[in-house]
Amino acid sequence: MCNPALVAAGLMAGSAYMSNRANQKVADAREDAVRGETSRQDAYQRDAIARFGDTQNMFTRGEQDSLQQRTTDERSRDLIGNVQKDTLAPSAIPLPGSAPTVVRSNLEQSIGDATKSGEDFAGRLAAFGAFDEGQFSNNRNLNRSAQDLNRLASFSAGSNRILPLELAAANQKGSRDRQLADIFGAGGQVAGAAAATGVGSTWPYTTPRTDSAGRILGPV
Amino acid sequence: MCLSTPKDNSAAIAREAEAKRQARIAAGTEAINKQFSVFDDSYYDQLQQSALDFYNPDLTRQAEDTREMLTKNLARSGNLSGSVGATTISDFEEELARQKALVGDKARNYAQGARAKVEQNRNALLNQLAATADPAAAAQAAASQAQTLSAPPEFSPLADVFGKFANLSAQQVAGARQGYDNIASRNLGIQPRVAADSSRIVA
Repeated sequence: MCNPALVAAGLMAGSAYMSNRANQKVADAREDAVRGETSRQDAYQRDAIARFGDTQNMFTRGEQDSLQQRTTDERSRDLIGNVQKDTLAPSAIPLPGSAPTVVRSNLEQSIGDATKSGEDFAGRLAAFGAFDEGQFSNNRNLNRSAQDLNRLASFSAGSNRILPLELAAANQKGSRDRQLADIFGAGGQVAGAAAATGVGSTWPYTTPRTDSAGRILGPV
Repeated sequence: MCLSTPKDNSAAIAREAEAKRQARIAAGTEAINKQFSVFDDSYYDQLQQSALDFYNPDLTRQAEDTREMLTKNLARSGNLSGSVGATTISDFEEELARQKALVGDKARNYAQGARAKVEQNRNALLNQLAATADPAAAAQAAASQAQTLSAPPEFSPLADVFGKFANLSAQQVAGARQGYDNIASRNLGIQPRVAADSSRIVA
């Protein structure tokens, strides 16, 4: 007959092993879940940092100066271009035929000066308006960047919300092993209790008989 | 079997749903951007040109009318060939050049305002998409917004920009010569004619 103490020890060891295996499966599953989520969050973070970096680079002194210059140039081109369109030819002024040459040349000079003055005005006006236009461009870029970052933040939060569910699922891993561990443990306790009450204590060893003084009387 | 355990797929279902939501938002964003891609630089250039095409002829018409009247008035008062005539014409041409610059500015600002409106609408759509994660609805709304934004622009007519020159009549020039403080004396710097031998004003 089996020795209950040995059986108990075996079952308890089996229970401990299965329990440990179950715990390891839970730990592995939790680690996988956390690693997976960390990896996804890293990707969102990388995208967000790259997007933010692009936006930040738009605000370097060089980029802003360049934007301002480009905007001023474009506005100046448009405004001065409109001033130069359909400029009056001095000959269009119906001077009397008797008008002296000096009058004609003065008029030509005056009209030329007027156009030049209008071009200067257009240039100043363009430079003035270019600041607002540049700021609009900045605001639009910031706004688009914010939209992208908000989208990434929404993805990040949405993904992160799943993690507790995945961790809860991970906690269920190894449940079969845990059940076996419980069964082995229960069996071990039963066997241990049996061993404690002396059931099957004759095998494989014999318990020597003793007299009242405790002397061994011989093998059974 | 007694060892079989119930399987809970809720985490996998939630993960799949989130992946689909993200894919829907990405698709919707792409649809909105595609719909709004018609609003490129060339679109705004055309809008700016439309404003110029509207305002420039109006300005030219006003300028031609005013120039004709001014020339006739100067000729009638015998000032067309003189320095007064040259100054008046020069002032008028300078004012015309300034008005052209202002029209150019107006047209550029008009296109700029349109950019702002389009951007505002694009933002609103992206916000709605983020809330609904429904790319079909987002694309439909984007198409509708794009159509509204593409509607013909409304321009307000140009005001009378040469009023001060229209009022420059020969009488005002004559009045300025007589020492009156009027639009001709202020704008053209016409001084009273004084006789050489006295302080008498000569008309």
